[in-house]
Amino acid sequence: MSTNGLLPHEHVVFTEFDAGEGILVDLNTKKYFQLNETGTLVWRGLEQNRSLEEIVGEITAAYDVTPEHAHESVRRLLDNLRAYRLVRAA
Amino acid sequence: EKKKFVEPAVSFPIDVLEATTFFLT
Repeated sequence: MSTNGLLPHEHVVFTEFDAGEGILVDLNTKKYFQLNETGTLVWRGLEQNRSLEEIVGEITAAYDVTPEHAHESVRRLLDNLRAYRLVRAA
Repeated sequence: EKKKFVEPAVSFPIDVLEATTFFLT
């Protein structure tokens, strides 16, 4: 079960580009959002209902960052995604 | 071998209609 307790909203469409970045389109508000490479990695984790620890583990495996730093960074992004109503409680 | 870490970020919202109009003898 996901420990971050968040899932992508049904009305949000995600498209990933070759460079690893992505676009989120909110079909309700007709607004779109850009995700950078690491943000896209987090979003894919949410789509696959991965736990926060799993997402952090994936980041620390690929990037030069401590688990504590990655954890805090992911938390901050999730707060922003929640503020934009792009994710909902699982 | 690990890549340089960049803070995961989401941009400010961009209005699709404005962008469509932009994509304007």
